[in-house]
Amino acid sequence: MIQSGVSQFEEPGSGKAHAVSDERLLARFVSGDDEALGELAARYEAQLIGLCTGMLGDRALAMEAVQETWLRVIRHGKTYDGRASVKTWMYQIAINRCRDLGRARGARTKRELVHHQREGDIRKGRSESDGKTVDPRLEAAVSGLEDHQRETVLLCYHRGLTHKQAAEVLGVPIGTIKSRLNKALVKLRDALGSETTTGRGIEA
Amino acid sequence: MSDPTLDNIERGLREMTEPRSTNEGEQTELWKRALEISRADERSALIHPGRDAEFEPKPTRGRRLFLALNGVGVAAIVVLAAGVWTIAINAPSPSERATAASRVETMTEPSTDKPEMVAGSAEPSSKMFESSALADTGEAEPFSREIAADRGRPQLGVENDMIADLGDTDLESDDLRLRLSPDMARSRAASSGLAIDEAVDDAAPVEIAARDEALMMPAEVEGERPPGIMQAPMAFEEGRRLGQGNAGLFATPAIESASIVIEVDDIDEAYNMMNELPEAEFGEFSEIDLNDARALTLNFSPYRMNEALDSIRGRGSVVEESRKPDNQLSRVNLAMSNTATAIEPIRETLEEYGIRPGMNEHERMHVLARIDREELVGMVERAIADIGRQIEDAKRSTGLSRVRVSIKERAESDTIEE
Repeated sequence: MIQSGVSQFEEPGSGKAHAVSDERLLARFVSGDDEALGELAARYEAQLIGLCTGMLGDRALAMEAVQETWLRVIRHGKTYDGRASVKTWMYQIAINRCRDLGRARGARTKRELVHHQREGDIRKGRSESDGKTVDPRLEAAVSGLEDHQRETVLLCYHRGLTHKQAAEVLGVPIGTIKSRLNKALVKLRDALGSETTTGRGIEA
Repeated sequence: MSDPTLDNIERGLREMTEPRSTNEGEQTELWKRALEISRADERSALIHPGRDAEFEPKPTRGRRLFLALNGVGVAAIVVLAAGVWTIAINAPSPSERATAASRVETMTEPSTDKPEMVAGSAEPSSKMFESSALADTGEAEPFSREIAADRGRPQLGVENDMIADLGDTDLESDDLRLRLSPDMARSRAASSGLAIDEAVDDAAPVEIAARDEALMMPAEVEGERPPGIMQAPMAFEEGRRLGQGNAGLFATPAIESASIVIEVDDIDEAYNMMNELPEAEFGEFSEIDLNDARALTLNFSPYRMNEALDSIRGRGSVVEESRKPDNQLSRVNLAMSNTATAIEPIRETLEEYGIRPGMNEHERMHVLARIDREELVGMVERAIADIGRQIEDAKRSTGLSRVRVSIKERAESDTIEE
C-alpha cells in the first residue's frame, strides 16, 4: 500500500524537507508520471552512487548498481507494499545489487587491485578516487572486514541514513547493527592504529 | 576524551560513502537511462509476449492439442515433400521412360501376343526367342558383383542373363522353344535394343550409375553372350522346364511381386516334397496342404527361391508367369498414397471445425472456444493411430518382394509337352 497525504518530510541527516513524500512520488510514477521518478532520483541517486561506490570500491560498478536499482524500482514499483519506506526499500535494492555485482565481478579483487595501485601514491598521503579524497589504507582496511561488518559501517556512516534505517535496510535488529558497528570500528582502529604509530596517519 | 584515530576513521568512512554524481557539479541521470531501458523492454515484450515468462500464458489442453496438430501437419508436409523430392530425383530420362514403357508393354502383353509353343523346334534364329525359365533353379549362376560395382551401386543377386538371346543358344535340343511372330520379334528387338544401346553407353557413366536397378540394362556381360533382349521383366516362362532357368533373377529388389504356375506330373509327390521343407521357407499365406483343386500355393521371398523349389526341380514345367517390376518410384507412390489417405480425414475434420492453415493465435482461440474438445481429441487420437498403421503398412510394403507359386498337377490334355 502506497502511503500518501503527508505534507512535509525531512530527510534525516540532510536537513532537507520535501513537500511530497517518497511514497507519493512513487505512486505518481506508477500511475504514469515519469517526472515523479526524476524527483525521487534527485533525492537519492547521488546518495546511492556514494554508498555503492563505498561498497564496491569501483565507480563504474557503482553506477551500474544504481542503474539496476532504478530498473527494479521502475519494474516493481507497482508491487511496493509500504511495509518499509520507499527510501529503505531502494537502499535494500541497492545493497542487494552491490552484493550481486560484488560476487559476480570480483569486486573484492578489484578493490584490492585498486588498493595496491594506490599504494604507489602513498607518499602523497592521499589518493584520488572520482574526485573525492579517500585514504587508501582505510579503504584497504574496510575491504578486509567481513561482508556484514563492512555493509554495516558503510551504511551507518553513510550520510542520510540513521542507524535505525540501516537496520531496516539490512533487515536486522538495531542492536545487531550497534554490535557489528562496534566490532568493525575496533578492527579498523587496530588496523590503522599501528600505522599511525609509524607516522603514517590517516588524517588528511 | 576523543580518540583521534577513531575520529579519522569515522571521517574517512563518511567520505567513502559521500553522495556523488556522475560528473562533479552535475545531476546524475541514471534513472533516465533505466527508464529508457525499461520502456524498450516493455515494447519488445509487446511485440514478443512469449519472451517474458510473466506474460507467457499457461498452455491449455486446447493449446497443447493444436501444438500436436501442428506437429502432425508439419510431419505430413515433410513426408510429402520428401516424396516429391525423391520422385524428382528418380524421374527417369525420356529414353529410360521409353525403355520402361516397352517393358511394361511386353510384360502385360495380351494373350493374343503370346508366342506359340513349338515343340522340338531347335533352329537358332533371330526370330526365335529362347526363354531361360526365370523361375527355375537349375542353372542359377553366381551373383556378379563386378557388374554391380561397375554401375556404381550395389545390386542384390541380379543375374545378367538373356532369355531371348539373339545370338547363339546353348539350350538343349529337348527344350521347348517359344516362337514369336516376325513382327513381334522385330518389335521386341527394336525396343529392347534401344535400351541396351543406351545402357552400355560409356559416355554417360553418371546417368547409368544413378539409375534404379529395375531400369538398368544388365547387358554388359562381356565374353559370354552378345547383347540380346533383356530377360528381367520381359518374357514369359511358359513351357520352360524347371532346372533350366536362373532363379537368381528373383533375388533382386527389381521384382516387386511375381506369380508363377508350375505344373508337375505327380502332385502328391510334390506335396510330399514340399511338406518336408521347414515352414520357415514360406510366407504366411502359403497353403502347403493340397486344396480342392489339388494344388499347392506357396508364398515366399524371392531370396528363398532356391530353397523352396529345389526339391521339385526337374519334375515340372512353368506354365504361367507374371511379374511386377519394382522401383523406388512405385514404392514412394505407395507410401505417399497410403499416408495421404490417412491424413485426408484429419484435414477434413479440421476444416469442419473451422481450422485452417495460417490462422493466428487470436483466431485459433476463437475456434477453440466453441470446439468440442473431447470429440476433437478423440478424432485426433484415432487419426494418429490410423496414420501409424498406414505408415507401418507403407513401410512393410517397401522392400517386400513376394513370389507366389502355384503347383498343380499337369492336365492330361496338356499340349505343351509331347
